[in-house]
Amino acid sequence: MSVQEFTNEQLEFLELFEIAARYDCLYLLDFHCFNMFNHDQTSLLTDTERAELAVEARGDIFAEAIQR
Amino acid sequence: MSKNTFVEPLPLSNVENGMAGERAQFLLNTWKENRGVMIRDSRMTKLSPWLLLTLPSANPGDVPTITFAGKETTFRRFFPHALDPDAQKPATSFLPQVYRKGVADGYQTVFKGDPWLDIQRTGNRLGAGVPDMTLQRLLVRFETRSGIVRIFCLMELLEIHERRDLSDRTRHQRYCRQKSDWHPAYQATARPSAMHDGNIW
Repeated sequence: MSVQEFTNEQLEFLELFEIAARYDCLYLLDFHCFNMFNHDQTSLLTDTERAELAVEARGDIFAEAIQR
Repeated sequence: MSKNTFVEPLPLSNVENGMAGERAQFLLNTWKENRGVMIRDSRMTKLSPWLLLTLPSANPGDVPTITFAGKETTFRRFFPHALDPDAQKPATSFLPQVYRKGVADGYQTVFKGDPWLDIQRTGNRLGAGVPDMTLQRLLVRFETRSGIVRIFCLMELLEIHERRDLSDRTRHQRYCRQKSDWHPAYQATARPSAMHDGNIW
């Protein structure tokens, strides 16, 4: 699947996931997911739900990436 | 401790022996077992609704920036809009300055790496619309392997006290006598773990 085949929302979530993984912060994504959807399986989320999760967790996770 | 403060530090043995509740005991045990290193753990994820996470620094006399507030936290309960993505001011600014200053010392301790436990009688320090509460707070410092640090705050609501009606002077005077039995709160209230039915996480 090429980059062109992802929607902007999907790309935003993938970017967030990649940064969280790079900085060992996937637990933060788990926390946000669990508090929003009562589980921590992001693979079970719809694209819309992933976009909502990205909005909620972005500031938390990106803040670290920016600092570094 | 100053007589003016509303925060009383407590020994961590209260957590270790289970007196501070199962959630606090689990959090401190995890911190010890992992030596302060945060790794993905489904048990911690299940605890997250009761956790408040902050950055590991703050100005003297103030609290650090909040980065995450679980859906069951007292902060979410009493300041539900503080963490809205479109909020126009920092989440901590929803906490009155007098409260932030009063609880700031514990953060300075935990920034250095030591866990912190205290009990608070909030009175009217959290502002209008927020009840007078007895809260128990456990702070621990976690760091990921890549060096990302967060302060984990587990705040347990031990008791909500009846709000005095300050608009009624007669009533206010009748009830203005300082209640002296709030500390240790454990003597008058249920233990944190006993406030819920069974092991909920």
